[in-house]
Amino acid sequence: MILLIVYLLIFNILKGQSLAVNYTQSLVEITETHLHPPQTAGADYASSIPLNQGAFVSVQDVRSRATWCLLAYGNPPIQGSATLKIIPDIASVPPEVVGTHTPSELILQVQPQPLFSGIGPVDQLFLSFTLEHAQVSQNVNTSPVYIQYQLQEGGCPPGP
Amino acid sequence: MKHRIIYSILALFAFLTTSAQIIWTEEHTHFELHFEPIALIAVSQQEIQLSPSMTTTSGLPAFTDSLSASFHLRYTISPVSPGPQLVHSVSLPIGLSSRWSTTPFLPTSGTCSLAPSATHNGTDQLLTSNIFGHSGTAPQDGIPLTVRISWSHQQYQNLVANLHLLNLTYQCL
Repeated sequence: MILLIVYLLIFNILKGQSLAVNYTQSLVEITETHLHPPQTAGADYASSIPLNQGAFVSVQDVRSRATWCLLAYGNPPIQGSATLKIIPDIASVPPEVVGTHTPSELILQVQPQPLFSGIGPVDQLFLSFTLEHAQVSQNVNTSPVYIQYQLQEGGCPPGP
Repeated sequence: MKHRIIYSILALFAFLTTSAQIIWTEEHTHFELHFEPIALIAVSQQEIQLSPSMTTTSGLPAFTDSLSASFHLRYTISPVSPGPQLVHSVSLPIGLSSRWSTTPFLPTSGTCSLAPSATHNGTDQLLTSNIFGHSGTAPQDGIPLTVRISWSHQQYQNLVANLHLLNLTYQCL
C-alpha cells in the first residue's frame, strides 16, 4: 500500500512530459538591408529587426487539464548590447490550450522568463523572433544564439 | 507506524508541490546568427542632366562644364582589412572623358573616411588612401562630388538624350 502511494506520487511528478522546439532556420543572416535606412552609409542596424526565424513548440504527454508554463532563457547573452525578443503566436494554437497570464513577448535574459502559459498538450505553438539594439560596431561574424526552454508545472505567474 | 509513514510522504509531497514549481523538462536549443560582413560594396547611380542646361555664358553649348552632385554613399561597413582604401569608379557615356574629384569628409561616427580630397584624371578609377579604421559612416547627405566632363562638339551633337546615367561605384577594400 505504501509503495503504491509512493509510486503514484512520484509517477505523477516525474512522468515523461515532453517538450520539443524546432526552428525553421538553422542560420539567420543580418545584412545591409537591415540597416536603418537600408544600405545607407552611416546607418546602424534598425533598433528592431524581425528575424527570418520561427520555432514550433510541442508539449506532449501531459494531462489534458494540466496547466504548465513555458519559460525561456539565454545563456550566454548575445554579443554586444543586442537582445532577442521572442513572441508567442497565441493564434497558432486553439484558444482552449492558452492559459492565463500568457505574456505577449519575452526579452531573452539569463534568468528564465515566462513565455507561454498552457493547458494540456499543445502542438505547433509558433514563436517569432526579433533582434533588438544590434550595432554594426559590436555585432559581427557568426555566433550561436543559445536558448533554453523550460517546462514547469502550473501556469505562469502574473506579469509585472 | 504505517500511518505515520504515509503522513510523512504526503507531507513531503505537499511541501514539494506547494513550495516550488516543478520543472518537468528542459530543452536546450541554438541557432546561428550571422552578421554579414559589411564590406562596403556600394553602387550609387544617379541621373545627371547633361543638356540643354549646360551652356556657357555666351549661350552656346559648353564643351567643358562641371556637374556637381552629392552622392549618398550606400555602404555598410563591418571589419575590413587593416589600411583599407576606398575605390571610386566612374563610368560615363561612351566618348566622354572626365575629371572628377571629391572633397574630404569626416565621418559622423566610425572611421571609414575619405581623406584627403582626390582627383580622377582620365581613367575610370580613383584610389584614395588614408581611410581610417574598421568601420564608420559617411555624412548622411552624401559625399560632395564634382564631375567635370569634357567632350567635343561632335560628341555633344551625338548625345541622344538629355539624361545620362553616371554610375559611381564605391568599394572599401
